[in-house]
Amino acid sequence: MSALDRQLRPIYEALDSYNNKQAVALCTKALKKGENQTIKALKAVALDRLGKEDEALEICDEIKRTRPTDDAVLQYICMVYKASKKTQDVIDVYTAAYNQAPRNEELANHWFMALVRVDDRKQMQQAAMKIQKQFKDNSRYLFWTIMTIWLQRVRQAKNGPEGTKGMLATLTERMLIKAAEDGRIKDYEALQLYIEVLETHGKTTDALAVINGEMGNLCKVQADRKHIVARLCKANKSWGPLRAVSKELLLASPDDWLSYCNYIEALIQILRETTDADSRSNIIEQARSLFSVLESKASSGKRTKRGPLLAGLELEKALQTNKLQEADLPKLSGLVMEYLEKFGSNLSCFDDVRPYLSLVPANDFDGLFQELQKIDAKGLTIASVRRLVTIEKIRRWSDTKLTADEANARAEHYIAAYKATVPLGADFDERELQPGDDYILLLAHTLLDRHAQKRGVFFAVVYQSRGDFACSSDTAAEDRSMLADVAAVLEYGLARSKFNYQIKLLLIRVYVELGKKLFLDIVLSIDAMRIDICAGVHKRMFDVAKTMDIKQIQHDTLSYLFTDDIELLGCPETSLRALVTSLTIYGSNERETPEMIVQAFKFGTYSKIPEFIRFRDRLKNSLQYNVSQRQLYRVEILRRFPALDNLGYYLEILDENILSFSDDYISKLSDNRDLTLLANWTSSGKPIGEVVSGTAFPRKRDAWLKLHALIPLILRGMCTEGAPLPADDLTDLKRAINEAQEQNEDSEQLTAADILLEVAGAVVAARTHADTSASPGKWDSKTWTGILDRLKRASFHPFESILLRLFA
Amino acid sequence: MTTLRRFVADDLFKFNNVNLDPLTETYNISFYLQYMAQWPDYFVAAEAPSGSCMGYVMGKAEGAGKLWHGHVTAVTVAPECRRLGLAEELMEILETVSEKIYNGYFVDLFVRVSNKVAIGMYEKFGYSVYRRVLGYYSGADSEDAFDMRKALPRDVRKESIVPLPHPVRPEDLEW
Ligand SMILES: CC(C)(COP(=O)(O)OP(=O)(O)OC[C@H]1O[C@@H](n2cnc3c(N)ncnc32)[C@H](O)[C@@H]1OP(=O)(O)O)[C@@H](O)C(=O)NCCC(=O)NCCS
Repeated sequence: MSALDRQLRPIYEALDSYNNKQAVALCTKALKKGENQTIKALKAVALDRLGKEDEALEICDEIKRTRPTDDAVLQYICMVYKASKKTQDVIDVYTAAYNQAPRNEELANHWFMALVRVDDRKQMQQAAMKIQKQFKDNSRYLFWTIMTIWLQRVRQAKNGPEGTKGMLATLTERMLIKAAEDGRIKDYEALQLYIEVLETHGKTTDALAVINGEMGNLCKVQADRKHIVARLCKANKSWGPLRAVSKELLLASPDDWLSYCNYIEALIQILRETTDADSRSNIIEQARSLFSVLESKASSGKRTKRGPLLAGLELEKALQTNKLQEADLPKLSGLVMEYLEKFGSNLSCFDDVRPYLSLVPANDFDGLFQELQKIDAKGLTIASVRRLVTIEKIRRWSDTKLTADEANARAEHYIAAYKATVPLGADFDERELQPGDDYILLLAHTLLDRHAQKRGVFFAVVYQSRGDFACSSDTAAEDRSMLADVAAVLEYGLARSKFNYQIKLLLIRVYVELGKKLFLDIVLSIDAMRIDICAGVHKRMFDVAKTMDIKQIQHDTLSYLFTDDIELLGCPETSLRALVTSLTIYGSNERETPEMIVQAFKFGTYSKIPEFIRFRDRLKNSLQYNVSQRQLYRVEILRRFPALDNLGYYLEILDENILSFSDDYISKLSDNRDLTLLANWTSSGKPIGEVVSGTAFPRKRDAWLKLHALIPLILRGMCTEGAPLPADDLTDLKRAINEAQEQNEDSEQLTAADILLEVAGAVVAARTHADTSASPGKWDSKTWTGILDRLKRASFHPFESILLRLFA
Repeated sequence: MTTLRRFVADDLFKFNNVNLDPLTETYNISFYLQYMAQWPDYFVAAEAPSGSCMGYVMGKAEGAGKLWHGHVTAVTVAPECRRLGLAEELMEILETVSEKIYNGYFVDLFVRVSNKVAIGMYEKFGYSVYRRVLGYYSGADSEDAFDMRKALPRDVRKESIVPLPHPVRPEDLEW
């Protein structure tokens, strides 16, 4: 062991065990004996971990000036730079190192990757080209160059200047053609890149020649190769070949849905181009007989596949909607019935046939519905229950509006049916769904419908008494108790099926709605005794949410289900925790995804590079990110009041980037919320969340995002004494309020914003016109009584109004 | 009526109906992206006609010498799409990739000893318990795992699957 190693080992050990203090001490001691860059750099790492960022950076800068080339030293100081988000320093350090040692391949790689992390595509290209020249034999650098040019073209695809775009495109293509000629396309990923580039330039014929040629052998799985051919044929509008290759794919794998769709699309196009009636019916017959061959193939294996039969339906539907054939309702109806007969006890059956239900004459289902009436609890099996549930869903789908009596009868039927199924699932693993779970949901949906109809009445009452903003406690109580019934039903089902996420999600939405109403009651002082119940509702809501174990990317896609409106529930501490947790994913994205783009370069997985970049951008520009951050600001501001210093300080550190509110900014946000998750089996397809809340759910956020960017910004202006209040913000706020009004935003939210506008206007006037001693006291007393009056009325909306009292 | 294709990063935005299952773990971003970057053929999604996710399988190739093999990291199917043979198809793809693209000796996987459904399924697909791993799953639901294996044609004498007589600890695992 060398002397240096002997010094280094305890330092590494200290760092590995996160004993950072000791690591610093060891470094300092070692450095006293003599200068050493590795030890210095390690000291910086340890200091940084101790939170002594400034000292750490100072050391790094010192090392940086000596233009180090030692790999370890570079890595350590870059760790510190990265932690402080000093990406430019990372690039500078590696650029300098590479220039001094251009033959060091490892350094070259580090340099390039540093550029990849910050996504500077022009510099990436220049670096890749230099490296490629230096290490000519390694094809990987050639592809880095090609990729970096391609990425510039991808970035410009939307709004770049045509000339540059064309140039980048041609350059990429030419380099790939040359690479192909030189035999440098040697793996599937490189081949895919080549094909994608040709395809994007509309050169599908060339691309087809490539995949069908020698190089196509790089694709080792035959079906994958044929799928590429199909994709290209489709882009090329070569319908004959598309039909042929889809047929081949289907014969090999009769459940391949994409190939059915391609086949049918090709068929429709071919039919359109065929004028002769006989040939047309001939072509159609060919398709039908192919599907029946596939069907017998698919049922000869150990398991009958659903594909061919469903594809038959898809074919008939396509023929009809494209008016290529007289509507043959009995035929369609027959196919749907056959499907139900064969696959009715699959859980997915209803979703499978849903697209075709509207083609079946309503009465044709009557026979099936008869079956529902006579449930023989003893004869039930899991399969028969599933079949019954499928039919129940179809009945719900067919329902026109039920009368109150019908709805009651239906509800009772669901309860009885559910109870009959309970024994069947008694021995199930608790992690599996219970056979009758969907009865619980059907029941809850039915009750929610009834609640929604009644809500119209409640609203009318509130509206009439708008003057004092109180609705009679009777109607409010009825409203609440209907929701509580739904919650009880769902809890009942959940007790027997502990992991059913459908039940949980709906329950959460019902609790949020109930919580909002209870909180409103408290603020309105209709029933101050309800505070405990209200807290109980919040607690249960969060407990259920917690059992769902929402994490990572789900924070972006699913949080809205339990954080939408959370700021209106009057439970700031819990809301805060939920919001802060949900925001963690965006930090992870910033940290992790660039590293993964680096990995894709490293492994030469070219197809994944643009894919990962797109993914990173979707998360970075997430709509939900903007919503959660604004909600968090709202809750925090409320929580800090009335400690004014604290509030003022908080307002100063708001992140202005995320509080952007231009139309352009908002329209570019990516809506990643998973809206498909909650089941609803009605034909209107109205999201069940909307049925629960009676408003758009999730909320429309365009105007909201503007309002809730402007409100904190304006509050900040008002709280910072002496600071000029930007009058522009007020104009923007006025505009945002108008917009929100047009979009029917909740009026209570708008009242508060409206008042803010008025108060802020007064502050602006006071600050600009009066001398420094201006104070609200000097304002026109009439203005003040007006404002105070409105404040009182808006008092059911605690947030802004409390804040505004500050100025009263 | 399934479309089988490579899993792509954007699928992470819509795999909730599959991942809300209590036996299916949701990992951090880099976990999924690392698999996509390193073993893109080993990560396959099953898509329904509506475009929703029906299930997926993710795997990798690892090991050295005669222990070079394919590994099943996760296979999972949305509750509403179970018992249609989807897991079977996904496992077949993984085995094909292990054999044809990576030329491994066997395929292996870890499964909770309490996950009777999955164990029964793997046995039906030709896997057998190679050894028990004590405390493989840590955290709140800590539990032992079975390390199950199935030999691929390259392991002509099926040496890789001869069961070990004693359980091992996680730190004894080769990979
Ligand atoms: C295990 C799982 C992947 C099975 O998926 P699947 O698509 O339903 O499985 P398949 O339809 O291909 O079933 C294949 C065979 O497995 C067995 N099997 C699957 N589910 C079963 C169940 N619930 N009960 C009994 N046997 C079952 C059967 O033998 C079945 O063949 P069969 O239907 O002809 O009788 C699915 O239940 C799941 O996602 N579970 C949660 C995640 C998980 O546990 N993954 C494994 C972790 S290592």
